[in-house]
Amino acid sequence: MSKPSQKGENKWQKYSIVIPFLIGAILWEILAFFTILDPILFPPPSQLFFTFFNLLLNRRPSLIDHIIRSLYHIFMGYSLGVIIGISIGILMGLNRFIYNTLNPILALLIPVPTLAWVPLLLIILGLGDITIITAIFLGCFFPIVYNTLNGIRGTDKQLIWAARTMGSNRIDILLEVLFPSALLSILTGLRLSIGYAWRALVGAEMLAGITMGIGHMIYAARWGFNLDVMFTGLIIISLGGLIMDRVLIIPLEKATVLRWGLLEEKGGKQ
Amino acid sequence: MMVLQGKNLKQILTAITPILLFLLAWEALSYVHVLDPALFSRPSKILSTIYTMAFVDMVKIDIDLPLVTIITGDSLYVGTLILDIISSINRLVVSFVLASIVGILIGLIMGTNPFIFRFLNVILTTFLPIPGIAWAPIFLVWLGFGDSTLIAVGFIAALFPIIQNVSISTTSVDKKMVWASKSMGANDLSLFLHVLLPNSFPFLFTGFKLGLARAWRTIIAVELISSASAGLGVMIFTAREFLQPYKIYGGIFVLAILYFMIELLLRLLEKQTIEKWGMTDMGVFYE
Repeated sequence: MSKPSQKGENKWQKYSIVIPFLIGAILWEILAFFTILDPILFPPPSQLFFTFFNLLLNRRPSLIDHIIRSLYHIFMGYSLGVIIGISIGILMGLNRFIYNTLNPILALLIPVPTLAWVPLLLIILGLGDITIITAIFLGCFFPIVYNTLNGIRGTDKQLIWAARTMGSNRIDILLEVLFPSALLSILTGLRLSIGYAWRALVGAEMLAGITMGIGHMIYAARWGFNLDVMFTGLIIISLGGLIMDRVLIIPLEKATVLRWGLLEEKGGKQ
Repeated sequence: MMVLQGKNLKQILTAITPILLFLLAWEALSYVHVLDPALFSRPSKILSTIYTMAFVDMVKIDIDLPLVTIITGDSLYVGTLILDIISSINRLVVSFVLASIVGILIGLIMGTNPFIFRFLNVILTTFLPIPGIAWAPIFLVWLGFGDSTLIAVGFIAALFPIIQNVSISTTSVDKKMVWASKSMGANDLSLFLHVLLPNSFPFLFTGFKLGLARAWRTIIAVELISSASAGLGVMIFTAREFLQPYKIYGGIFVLAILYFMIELLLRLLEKQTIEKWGMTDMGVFYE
């Protein structure tokens, strides 16, 4: 008896996610239809629907080109950030001297908004992909470094001693003890920084993009007064942020920390 | 925060030495042209630029900024950099205060009714991951270049984390505490003032902290593209157009110091309130 009711509840839950959007969209549509909201300034959902397909099929570069270029940017910047960030974090966690040298410099640079670097990068590197990739790298570098560092430093000392007494060398300790124990915190960093990277992507593409990229598409739509294109881009950005989290981070989490039973939340915020 | 944590001299020294060495190395490399001084300006030049912008190049404050006119009166000459800082901070304060008021209201409304909570929560989770700067082109079309766009975008950026944390704080209260105080004869007002409000404080704090950080980042970023009359982002982007990297470095340095100070202030506030009351940092850090 309890099963069907639960199923009904689940169904209701599923619908309840869609309902707010439906109500909002219908309201918007009606207001725009009676031109209470100016349909040029507030393009109604039906128009966004057409714009979406128009961008997909009729424009050159098409929406797919924009998305692919943005994904390329984010892939390059994020993987650079992950590789360099985790390495530096581990080095800082292992060696006191490196920590003392780098920590003040990094702490000085953390509070700078990522996009404030872009004008400088524009002078040094010029317009284009490399500036955008560097900006994304700068956006996700710091949270990864500090979360990795926290994870390495938070490792239970007794585990290290135990491994040492049982005769493991430094590389074994790093790979078998420190890294797995820090992984939860590292994953927190990865998750935070994918959000940061996404944000940096949009801003950097606006400032430094040339022909392609979602951010550039939104920004360029300003010249043609195409608010429908901007809103379509905004929806894609919002979905992209959610999908990134679902596709990249959650499977990674399931494959590692959840499987090992390290369930409890921990990790930094910055 | 990490730099100034050390109480004794040794710790401060170990914090400052690497920075000084870094700057010295930069200065030397730039001096012998290993680093191109046209791109990587020498630290000495950056510092003198900051000094010039702050105290030598004077400009009259004649912009209509609500906070500034209250503080300074009508005509006052300050350094250009000071004016940039004042206008950026002014936008931050206005948008943050607006976002707090609206955010608390919407959050409380969400807390009153589980149906409204579910309804708005869906919309909230959709809007939360949109970076503030993505709104900028739309608001530029709606509101034009200038303060209103910057304030609106800062408002949007700060609003969602505040709503989220306020709405969660309303559902987070321990039912037993409510029952206990009710059975001891508390009326609605004192229940709100002495149980619900203090209980929601850590969440509020987290929401405000996040909102402030997001608004600040977004305002600086949007200043880059919205050619307002003054502001740190405007200054940085103008310097780019005139190929003055030393001004950009100066701006970045000032940004770092400013946010560092804001964070120090928040930390102090947190120590005085939440930590004193024995509540740890709670709330949602979605970012």
